[in-house]
Amino acid sequence: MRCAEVREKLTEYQLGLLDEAEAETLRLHLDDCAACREELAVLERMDALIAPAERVAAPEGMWLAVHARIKPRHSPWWRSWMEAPRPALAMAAALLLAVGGIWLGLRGMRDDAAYEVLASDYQEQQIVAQWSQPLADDAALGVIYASLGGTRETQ
Amino acid sequence: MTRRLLTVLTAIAAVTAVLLAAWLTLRLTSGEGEDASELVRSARAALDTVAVRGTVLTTVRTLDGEREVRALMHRGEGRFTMRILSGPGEGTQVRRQGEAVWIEGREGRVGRRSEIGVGELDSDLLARNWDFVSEGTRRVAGRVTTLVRGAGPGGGLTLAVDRETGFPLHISRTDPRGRLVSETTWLDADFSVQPPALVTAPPEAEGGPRRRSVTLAEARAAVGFVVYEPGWVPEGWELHGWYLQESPRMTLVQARFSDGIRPLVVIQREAGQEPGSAGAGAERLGGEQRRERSGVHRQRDEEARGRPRESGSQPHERPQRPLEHLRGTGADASRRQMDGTVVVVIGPLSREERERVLDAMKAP
Repeated sequence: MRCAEVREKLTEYQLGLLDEAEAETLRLHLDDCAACREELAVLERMDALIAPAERVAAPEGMWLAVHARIKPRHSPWWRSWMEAPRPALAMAAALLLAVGGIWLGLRGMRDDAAYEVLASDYQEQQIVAQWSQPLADDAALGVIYASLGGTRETQ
Repeated sequence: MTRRLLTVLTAIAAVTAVLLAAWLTLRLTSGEGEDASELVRSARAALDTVAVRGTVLTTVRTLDGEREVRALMHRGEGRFTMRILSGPGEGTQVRRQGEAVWIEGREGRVGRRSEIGVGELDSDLLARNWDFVSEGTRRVAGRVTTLVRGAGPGGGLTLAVDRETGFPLHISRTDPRGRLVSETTWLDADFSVQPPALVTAPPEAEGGPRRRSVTLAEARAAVGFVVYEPGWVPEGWELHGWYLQESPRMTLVQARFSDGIRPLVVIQREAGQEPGSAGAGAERLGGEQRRERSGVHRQRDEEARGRPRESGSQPHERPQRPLEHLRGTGADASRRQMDGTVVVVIGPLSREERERVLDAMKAP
């Protein structure tokens, strides 16, 4: 047994808490090791110093009084948010996104609703003008041109 | 300690230098970030000269959202034939030959026909308004292309220019707010084909519109309503010309502006000119849903009337009809009746800019 292991168990040895076999092993080591014996002697001296001290029971209500005097810890305001359960945070974020999306969508619909549609007479003019520009996207203009209805500007 | 710090700093500097050198080498070899105006000019030329046939996928932003259409495109020598393969217009054919564009139905019946101009590239206008930069290479239709992005007053333009032929195998446009206007990508392209065969363009319909290039004075002399002159347009837009379109049904005067790539048109016509128009109203594109005009839809323009006029424009005391804003495919519009003339501004401008164009219209 090495000194380090012996010293770890010296307190238990001194208090008689080790089983017989282990105590015997320590005893054999102490017979041969002066340093460990000295360590044991220190423990015994400390024990001798503590032994006369009287045990005093704490007065009733002392811990309640101590607790009451402990200052509450001031956390930053955001810490309580961070300490909230994560699923709750995720749901709140999802709800916020959904409400925001609906609001934006409704706003867009309202904007569109305020617009009339350009009559095809004018659409055609715009397409023809676009076709007369360089780098015209013939396929895209062709698709729009083919989709023009027979609506006429009338007002 | 100091020595160790110096060693670490030297190592960091060395790694940074190596990474910088590698990045510069990559940029220089790929041409990324370089001015691509010349590539744009060659792409414009290739649209007329290169013969190609293949399938294109086109996305256009319509009033009902984005619409994706596949089409078979065959083009060359300035003409094209396009057969729509999917969507509402499936089977319809759009043809261009010379300055005529027309539609042929599934049974070969000729539908709408329009006269379009040749879109010559105005290099000076393009140089003043647009910055084109190369953004490396992309594979489109199995071919190596150079990606070119440009931005101008009318929005953005992206091209993927075929390295071998100079033909743009991808064109996409966005409006000034960055929203997609249209996008066309070739899915396959055969450059070994002959141009589409010459055909006899269908005759203009009896009483169909005839459009001719005129001066403002000629336009004013030709029509029976007051033709206003635009006194203000946003910076970057330049007048390309005046056009007069006459048909028994309606006579239109059009001032066409350009930023080099996109048009801005100001159309004028006589109010209530069309015969038999009572009860008819604006309808959705394609005749999907008819909408009645209502007070809710009209937007009064007291604010506009209270705004100081541009210098040079002649203020007039005549009452104006309400200003209306209209949605269109490709570009929105604003319309106002001024005395007996209806003026419509269509183009990739903001609502406020269109309104200001209308405010600054000058009477003769």
